[in-house]
Parts: sequence; structure tokens; C-alpha cells
Amino acid sequence: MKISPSTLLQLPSGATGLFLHEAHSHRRQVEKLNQLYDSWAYLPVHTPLLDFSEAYTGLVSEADAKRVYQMFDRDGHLLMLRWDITLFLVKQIRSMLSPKCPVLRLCYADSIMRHEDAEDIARNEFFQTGVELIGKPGLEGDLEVLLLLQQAFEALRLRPSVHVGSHSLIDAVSTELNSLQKEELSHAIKYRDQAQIEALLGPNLASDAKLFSLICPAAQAPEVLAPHLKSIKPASRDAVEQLLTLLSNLLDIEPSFDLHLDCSEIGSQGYHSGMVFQAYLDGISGPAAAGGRYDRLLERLGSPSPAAGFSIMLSRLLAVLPESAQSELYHAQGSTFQERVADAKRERQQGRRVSL
Amino acid sequence: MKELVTTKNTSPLTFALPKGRLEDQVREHFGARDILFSFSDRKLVTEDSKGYFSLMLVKNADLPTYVMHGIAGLGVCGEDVLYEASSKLIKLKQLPFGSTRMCLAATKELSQQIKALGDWTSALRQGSLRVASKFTRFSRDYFHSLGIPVDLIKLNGSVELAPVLGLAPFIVDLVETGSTLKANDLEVVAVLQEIKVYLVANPAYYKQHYRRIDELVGLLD
Repeated sequence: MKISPSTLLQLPSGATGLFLHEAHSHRRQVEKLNQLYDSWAYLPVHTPLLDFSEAYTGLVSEADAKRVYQMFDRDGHLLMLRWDITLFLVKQIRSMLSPKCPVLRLCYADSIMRHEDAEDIARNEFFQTGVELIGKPGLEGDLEVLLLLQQAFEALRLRPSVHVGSHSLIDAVSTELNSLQKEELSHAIKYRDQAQIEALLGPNLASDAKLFSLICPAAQAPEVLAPHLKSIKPASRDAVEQLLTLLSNLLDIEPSFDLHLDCSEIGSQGYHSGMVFQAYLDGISGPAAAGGRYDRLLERLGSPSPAAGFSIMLSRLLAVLPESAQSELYHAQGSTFQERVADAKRERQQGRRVSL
Repeated sequence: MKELVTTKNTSPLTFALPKGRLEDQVREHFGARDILFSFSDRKLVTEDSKGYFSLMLVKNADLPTYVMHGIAGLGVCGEDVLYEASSKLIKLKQLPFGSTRMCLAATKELSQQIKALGDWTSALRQGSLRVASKFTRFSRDYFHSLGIPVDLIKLNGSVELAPVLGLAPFIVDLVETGSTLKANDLEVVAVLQEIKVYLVANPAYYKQHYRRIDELVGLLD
């Protein structure tokens, strides 16, 4: 049978590989991050590539369901390929939670696979590294995750702007909306369509609707939010106040953190709750990292426990890593092979990468 | 004249401009705010007189692709192009120029027959509607939203020829003055949507530069 050239030259949508220098750079970054995660006492996990689709019923949005690759096993079970690491990880880990071990600190570096339309190609989210902090509720858990994110980028010698918002805000205002309207509201908030937000929420929530347009450096957040606090729903006020506490604590601990209050950040996944964030870097067309709290996810899988985490879109970062972060190659010197071997040995002892 | 305060000592914002009619209108709109630029010697990249923007001239239909991939952070684009590209961009501001109408058109004879029946949508519910258009995504979604099956023929230009040469009885196209339709003995059966022009941004680029971009939006009022 003749093999069509297109099957030899292309990969299915959503699949990719890393080769040669790109793969080398990728591995070095993963090593740096793994070292950091280890120093913060996070244990590595490797999630399965396949799982039963049924286990995630109700956890996959309609939009995401269209992008997931699914197949049948020999017994007729519908399976899905790993398309979201947090979901796959949490399902496995829930059975390991116990009163003796109430907090789990986990880290991963894995690939995901999902269909990407031509217009989504710029997403480049195939390789992700990140952490999940399971069992630690509230402010301290949020702070730990965000501070570790900041350290992770510092290890990569990158300084992103981190925009922090709250999924609780959309929960607070959408109690009267049906699921389709909620989806429309999320879209309008994400794309800053203020007229649509106000139309969906109606005149009774006009003040709450205005919150979603607010964006400013974290240090200015109390001043920017103050005029809004009196006229919003109590649940919105609680969400905003928690956000302010989080931002002020982060700035106290890490004043150099490039943090922004951004109420249009409502979480990239349907399972988010509480604080959510995305990190942005110049030269990258999408978020460089995303994360947040997802306290309800484990409960929906039958093991209630608070959780928070982040994913760094490592494949996107390769294009913007500082030059010095790339590993330089040294070619061994000498007129004979033996001399070059000896030179290489000396240089390798100095920690250099040497080619014969 | 207002100035962009936060732009001082920073690299210019990247801005994609669509070639053609909108390019001239953007130049005029920016010129009225003392932001001057031109593309010389067939060059497709330039900077404005104030150093606010690095501008690139791209084909209208390609503009969302450049913005989505972050090659340009900002752009000026009609709703028609955004819809066809299914673009996930932030619409920062509707611009006060370039508006047009997306219309269903046919030969005068057919159009008048339909109009004589009253409600044009009922008149078209007679099996599948054969339509030639550059805007196939818009056309499909529009007619499907009315419950009308549609048989689409994708064309890349001179759409008015389709009814004249018998390729399709209907076309969906942008109509400004209607003079091209008239010259080809066609007329508008129905205006499907008013098409507005927007200043758009890549969402991540906006997040990275929101203070400067918000200032720009204020400057363009």
C-alpha cells in the first residue's frame, strides 16, 4: 500500500514533538523547574495518558469536549487522551488523601493532546509543567502557589506580569443565569465586552458588572476597588476583599512581584473556584502560565479537599528564554582525536557541554 | 493635543493595518490626532511620527491571524473579517468610520419577486438556498439561525458575477453604495447585518500593555 505524503509530513491536529536543540532546551528548563519544585517539597507525579471518559462527566465543558480525543477500548469503554493534566492528576490522587496525609504537594512535567483549530495553533500548550497543592485551603495555600509560580519564572530568568482575579466573582453574579448564559458571560468577561456583561447581568447588578472591567497594578488595587465596594452584592464584596488580602500579602512578602488586579481573570477551566491567575510575557501571544484554586473539583470526584495549582506553558516559553539561559556548546580543540578527548574531559569538568 | 504619557521610553506598540479603504480612514483618523504615518517605497512596515506604533500593512482577511499570533498586538478590523476568522480578540473600541452592510442580493427580477411575497425569509424557505459569497461562515450561521438550509459556494472576489453568470441565484456580500450591484443589474434583497469597524487587541498583548492601550483608546475618542 502506498503511504500518502501528507501522513509522512504532518501530524494529527494537536500532536507535536520536540527535537534537537529545542528538545535540549526544553529538558534543561524542566530540570531547573523540577529542582525548584523539589526544594519546595513537591513530589513528582506522572499522569496516565488515557482514562475513562465517564469519570469526567460534568467536568468537561461543551467547548472542551469538542477538542478532546476519544476512543474505545476492547471492552467498549469510551476513553479520552490526556488533555488536561490537573483533571487526570486529581482523579488518581484523590484515593491517596488521608487524615494522616492531609496535604499533598505534587509537581509534573507532561504533554497534553487535544484538537486545535487552525486559529488556535498559536496556543502551543502541548508541554506543561506545574504544581498542585492539595489539602491546603485559603490564603496560605493561595500564597504558596503564587509565590512558587514567581520563583519558577525567576528560575527561568523571566519576569512575567501576573494578573490575579477571582472565579468567586462570576459565581456571585451568575446565580440567576442558566448554563448557556453563564458561558456567554464568561466569554464576555474574558474578551472585555462590557456592554454584553451589563446586558446579561441586568440593571440590578450594574455595579457588580463594572467590576469585570477593573485592571490595575496590585499596589493600586485598594484605591481602584474602594468606590465599588458599597454598591455590590455581599458575595461579590467578599470575593473582592479576599482578593485584596491576597494581593497585599503577596506584595508584602515579594515586593518585586509584577502583580496586577484583573477582575476579567475568571479562570481558564470550568472547575476553578476562588483566586485565579494568568501570567503574561512580552513576545508570547497567549498566557505563559495559568492556574488558580479548584476547591470543588475533588468533591465532585467524591473526595472533598481544597486544592490549588498552576501550569506553565513551557513550549511557548522556549521562544523568549534569555540567550544566557540557552546552553552554549564548546567544540573540543586539538589536532588529534586523543588531544580533543583530553580537552573535552577538562572542559566537561568545568561544567561545559563539549562536542568532539 | 493629548499625548500617550506611558509610551515615553518604551518600545512602540505593534499595530496591523488592513490594506485599502480602511488604511486611508485610519490614517485620516490618526492624523486628526497628530499621529502621522506613511508607507514609502512599497514597504509594509513603518513607525508613526510620535513613535507610539510600529505599523504593519497586511491583507484585510489576514489581519486577525497576525493579531492572534501576536505578530501585531493591535489592529483595525471589520466585524465581517473577525467573524470569518472566528477570532478570539478583544474589541477595544468601535471606530467611527468604515461601517458597511452585509447584504443578501440577487438579480432585480428575483429580488422583486421575493419582495412581492412580503416576508423575504418565508419566501426563501423553499428547499436549500444557493448562495455565493466570500463570507461563507457568516452566511451559513446566519441562514441556519433562521432555520434555512443553505448551499454555499465560496468565492474570493467579484461575487456579483455569480448571479449574472448563473453560478448561484443569490450572493451575500458587503454593500456600501450599491453601485457595483446596480452596474450588474442586481439589488439588495435584505440587509443581514450592519458591519462595524473595531480597534482590536490580542488578549495577552492587551494584558501586557493595558495601561498604554487604554490611553490609546482614550486618545482615539
